Amino acid sequence: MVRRLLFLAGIVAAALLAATLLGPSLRGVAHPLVPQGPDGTYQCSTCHGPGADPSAIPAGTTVPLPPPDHAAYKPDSCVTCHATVVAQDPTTPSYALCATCHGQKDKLTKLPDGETLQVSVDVAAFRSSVHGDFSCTECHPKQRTIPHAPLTAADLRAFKQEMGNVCQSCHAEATASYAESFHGMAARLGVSRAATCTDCHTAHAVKAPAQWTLAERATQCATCHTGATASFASGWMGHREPSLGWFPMVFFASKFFVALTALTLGVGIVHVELDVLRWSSNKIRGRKEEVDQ
Amino acid sequence: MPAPPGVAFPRPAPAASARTARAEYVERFDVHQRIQHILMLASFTVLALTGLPQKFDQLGLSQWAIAVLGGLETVRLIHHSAAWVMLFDCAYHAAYLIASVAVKRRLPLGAFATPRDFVDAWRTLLYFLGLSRKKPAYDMFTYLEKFDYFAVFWGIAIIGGSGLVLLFPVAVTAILPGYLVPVSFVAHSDEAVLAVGWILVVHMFYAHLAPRVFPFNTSIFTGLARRDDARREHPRWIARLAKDASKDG
Ligand code: HEC
Ligand code: HEC
Ligand code: HEC
Ligand code: HEC
Ligand code: HEC
Ligand code: HEC
Ligand code: HEC
Repeated sequence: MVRRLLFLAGIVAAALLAATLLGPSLRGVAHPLVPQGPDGTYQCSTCHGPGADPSAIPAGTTVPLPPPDHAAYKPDSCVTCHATVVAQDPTTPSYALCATCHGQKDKLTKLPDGETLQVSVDVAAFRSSVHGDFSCTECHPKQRTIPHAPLTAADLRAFKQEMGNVCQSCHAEATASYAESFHGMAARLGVSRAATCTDCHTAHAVKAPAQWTLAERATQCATCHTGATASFASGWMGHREPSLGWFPMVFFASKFFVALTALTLGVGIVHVELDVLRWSSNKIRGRKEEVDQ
Repeated sequence: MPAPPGVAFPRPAPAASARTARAEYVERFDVHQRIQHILMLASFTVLALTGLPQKFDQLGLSQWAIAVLGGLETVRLIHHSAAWVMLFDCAYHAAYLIASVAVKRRLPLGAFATPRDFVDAWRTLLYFLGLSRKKPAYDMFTYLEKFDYFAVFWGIAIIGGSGLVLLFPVAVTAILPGYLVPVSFVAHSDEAVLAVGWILVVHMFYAHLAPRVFPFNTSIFTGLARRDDARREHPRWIARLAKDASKDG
């Protein structure tokens, strides 16, 4: 009995110790999850504001008070400066935070080579894209800090190519097939104008194949292939191997040419070999080649 | 390179008679045919050297070749230029065939297959297998040379056609269905491998390595074949030449 009590006490003590050790470090890293209003704005005042809701504040924490000059700041402006509070937690959908700046129209920045980079993002289109419930920082981890660190890419094309790797980290199959495609091959061999993932798919309005119309695809192709039509776009197989159900004509063509090549070269090689054999056998037996006149 | 077109002349062309008067030689290819072969040889070689590295771009050798030639864009430019040379060569050959018909008033059928060629092929097979003691007597062009020539027709149709689709994909798909582009992609590179394989194995063997011609069968460049060689390799042709000569006599 005493032993059992000691055992229980030990477990409780260990748990308390762990909680004390882990507690402060957890608190130091992650700010508590910040609730969002229906329009996406962060509700900082729930905990920090005048009239804070004590029940919302996690137990064992003390909420620092905003400095007095903060009285001037509007409630929806907090994240523009305190971005890390929300951006550090990857489970927090931070698009609203990023949207406070990037949702504005016609925002431009200059790249090191002088080209302009349009940094406005159509947030509505992004929200209805296949990645709509992703946090922006899932693809843009470097931009968690605000203001952002200076850009490393020298020009627009380099920026796109660098960013193209982002898609590859999650879509391994598409990436493998892209690498074998004409564009992937060209890009690998240093042709900077060859299409990257986002040249075809866009960066922030990516659609699932079924929702992605040929006309929309053609618009993307046409940025490089002047005059591209829906018919032209329909010829791109995506990232699947041809099969009976997917581009059967390509499937048949590749089978046909493999057979044709094997047959023709096979006959040619056998012909050469037989010729050599007969010639050698003539030589060995000391016979002359005779022709049926 | 495949044997150029044969126009089976019933008699030595008058212009050639001075050269062939040296009875040692017979005229085998006229000047147009020789130029056509050189253009084909040059453009084919350039196309293969700039095309294969694009097909097998994962190989270190390909990457080296592309870098040496000045990058993929330059390689493609060279490839396209050589393609136009080859297409010009085809147009030249087509014009030549038409002109032969117009001037000589006969179809230049010497390099086209006849039923006899199938018999020749069968009898050659028997000879190779040791089932027959004698080789059949070939005409001006053997069945294999005719196949070589015919293979260029089909090769050009497939490689040239698909190449044009890949060169102008937007224009082509404005009229034809889009899947033609990936089909052309497959056709272009696979047929090219077949063509290069055939040239390296069969054509090179019969133009250079075969004991009868080793090290080099020059007649496609000089236009002339030694009468003795021709009598052995193409007896029916020489017999016909002799008969025509005596008829004219
Ligand atoms: C759920 C309650 C809650 C909400 C909502 C909340 N905070 Fe906090 N905040 C805290 C607590 C608790 C701490 C103290 C954390 C600690 O001790 O590490 C804190 C700390 C801070 C700090 C100082 C430490 C740091 O991580 O930089 C800042 C700045 C801050 N909050 C800003 C904000 C802003 C801006 C918002 C709105 C986007 C917000 N908070 C919303 C609970 C909240
Ligand atoms: C213009 C940028 C800016 C805006 C907007 C802003 N803050 Fe701050 N905030 C700061 C700075 C800078 C400090 C640090 C000031 C200091 O310690 O003197 C700070 C400090 C704080 C602190 C105290 C942190 C600590 O560790 O003691 C809290 C809490 C806080 N802010 C909350 C808010 C809330 C809530 C809002 C929205 C109403 C907001 N801030 C808007 C820049 C801003
Ligand atoms: C305070 C306004 C502001 C906020 C909030 C903001 N950005 Fe930016 N962002 C900018 C500006 C301004 C630029 C233009 C480049 C520069 O000056 O750093 C930019 C540029 C960018 C770029 C282009 C590449 C680069 O680094 O310049 C990306 C990507 C980006 N932001 C992503 C984000 C993401 C993701 C978030 C949310 C975590 C975010 N931004 C939040 C202002 C903001
Ligand atoms: C699925 C990954 C992904 C997500 C999620 C994402 N982006 Fe991007 N973003 C990219 C890529 C890739 C680029 C590179 C530009 C290109 O290739 O067109 C980019 C570029 C940018 C740029 C530079 C300007 C431009 O359009 O080229 C900004 C600003 C930006 N993103 C902001 C955002 C914001 C804000 C969000 C959230 C609302 C967000 N991104 C979400 C992938 C993403
Ligand atoms: C953080 C991982 C991640 C990144 C980065 C990412 N994606 Fe996705 N993507 C996903 C997930 C998860 C889905 C949803 C898959 C599903 O619905 O089957 C998806 C879906 C898609 C789809 C639709 C697939 C379908 O079959 O419906 C496309 C197309 C797509 N992504 C393209 C891209 C492109 C282009 C980029 C780069 C701009 C990118 N993705 C970056 C994770 C990612
Ligand atoms: C030349 C244009 C093009 C490029 C470049 C491209 N894609 Fe695609 N992708 C497509 C098309 C077209 C489809 C739709 C195929 C279909 O109709 O099913 C597609 C489909 C997809 C899908 C949906 C699932 C699937 O496999 O069909 C994903 C995921 C995807 N792409 C990711 C990528 C990634 C990642 C990259 C870069 C490595 C990339 N794509 C580059 C054209 C492109
Ligand atoms: C960012 C530019 C860009 C985009 C967008 C783009 N491509 Fe391309 N594409 C290229 C380049 C560069 C080449 C190489 C052609 C050249 O060198 O002329 C190429 C080559 C091709 C080829 C091979 C043709 C040839 O000359 O061998 C096809 C087919 C093709 N693209 C189809 C598409 C389709 C379909 C789309 C849209 C789904 C598309 N491309 C989008 C840049 C692009």
